[in-house]
Amino acid sequence: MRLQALFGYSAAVLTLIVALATFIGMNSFSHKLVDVTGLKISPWFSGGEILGTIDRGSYKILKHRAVFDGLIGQKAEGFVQIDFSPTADLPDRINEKIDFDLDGKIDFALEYDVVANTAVITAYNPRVLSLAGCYVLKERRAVRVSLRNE
Amino acid sequence: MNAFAANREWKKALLFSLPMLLISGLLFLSGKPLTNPAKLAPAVITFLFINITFFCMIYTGQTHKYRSRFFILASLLFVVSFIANLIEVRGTMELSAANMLDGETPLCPLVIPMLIIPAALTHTIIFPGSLFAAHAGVAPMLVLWLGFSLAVGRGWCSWICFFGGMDEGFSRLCRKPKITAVDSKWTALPWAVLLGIVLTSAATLSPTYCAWLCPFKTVTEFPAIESAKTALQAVIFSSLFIGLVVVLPILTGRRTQCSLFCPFGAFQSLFNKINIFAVRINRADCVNCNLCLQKCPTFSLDEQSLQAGKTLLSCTKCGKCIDICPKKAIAFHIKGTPLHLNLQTARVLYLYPAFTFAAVIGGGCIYGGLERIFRLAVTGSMIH
Repeated sequence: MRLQALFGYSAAVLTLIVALATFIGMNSFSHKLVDVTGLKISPWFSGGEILGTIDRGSYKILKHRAVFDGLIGQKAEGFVQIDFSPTADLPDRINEKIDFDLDGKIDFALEYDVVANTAVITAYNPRVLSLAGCYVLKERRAVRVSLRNE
Repeated sequence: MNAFAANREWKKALLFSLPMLLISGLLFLSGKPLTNPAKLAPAVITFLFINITFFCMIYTGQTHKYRSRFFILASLLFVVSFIANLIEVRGTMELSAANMLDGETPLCPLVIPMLIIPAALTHTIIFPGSLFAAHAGVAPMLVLWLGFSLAVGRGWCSWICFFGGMDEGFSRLCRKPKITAVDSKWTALPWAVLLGIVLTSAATLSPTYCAWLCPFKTVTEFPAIESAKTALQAVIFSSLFIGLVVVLPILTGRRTQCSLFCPFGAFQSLFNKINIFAVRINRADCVNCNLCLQKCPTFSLDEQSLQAGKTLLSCTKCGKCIDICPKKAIAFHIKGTPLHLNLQTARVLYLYPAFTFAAVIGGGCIYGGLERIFRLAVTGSMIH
């Protein structure tokens, strides 16, 4: 009983130390948490890892990997995100042919009206479904194209 | 109490309050640019308010009364500072798809239960935020939640949840409840909502509670209304807010959103199992007046639990039952220690961690809101 009580009071005091450590060590614990768990923002929001960059002189095109990630395995449909940056140096219109799966074949042609923030796609690959959206982001523009998984 | 005893109590309370003075000075004031006069006044007022509140808690022995005032004020000023910040950064309270792709959404703690399964299976966070954003980044919020949950359990809902403060504020507007009988079956609803959102979020890899059910979107940020779907979402958010956070608390005098709907609250209840602090009823002193049962803001006492001398798992450790018990039969308790002994020690040991979190989180909200109000008074605008 005494030992239990000692444990109880010790644990109660420890909670104050936990409270202090939470704030004092917040930055370091946050980084450790991410390092240990390998957590990252879901590609459904972040767009997924960047697979390749195309340099167009005044601006760059960043091709993300196609995202089909499911909870277990892959989903039947997903998207690929193409970024254009820096925003300030983009031309009024961008015409690009995109090979999203890096198989050496063009999968779709993208005509992006930077001023109106609208786009038209022409699909060459039956897996390319439609334009999912055009987005004005802080330091870049992004276009998402819906895809069907193989 | 004679003058000597009163003087001694006063000094004792001051002595117990000194550590909080140091803690709040270290944690709350550090990082505040006190050289800027426009920020100095709100910081000093907040710092004084934090420490006067804690002193009053210790000196009077009343927990709920002072906690509640602090909690409600923090919640109101959180709304002021949050909305002003959104307007300053985005020009609107609307959250666009582009904002989400940019990872600009601060992590709301209510999302945490929905993150667990996808994080475990895919190592990803299904939330459109940033891992290390300066304002409520995902990783710091997870650390805060872990620290608090270990230290105080479901005390989260009564000490630092700025949404709970709104519910509590409206419930306190109720002088005489119009609805006194609420079927205890309703207290199972948060668990059902929790199960539903955890499963649907895992299946869709998106936080479904935020997308469809969060009443607090009404007073924070909400998806830009651009389609029938987003219009429907806005109707659901505002209806739930008006119903659960405003009308029902006023009619019942209870925190209906927190106790009858909030899935995060249900989830936090699980931490009461492992938390060292609890609330216990001394059956020898209890006269079964049932006042605690009738007044508990979160329906965390029923006749069975009262007979067993314990609160239910959903207890938020707000201290109301302890304050109002006419026989002083209810007290904070440290598990493993002898029941109904050293009550003051248990209370003070509970108040230190709980109020440390409140001082930093709630104090931050109070400071942020006051700073905006001072700016409004001086410049005529809350935003830069």
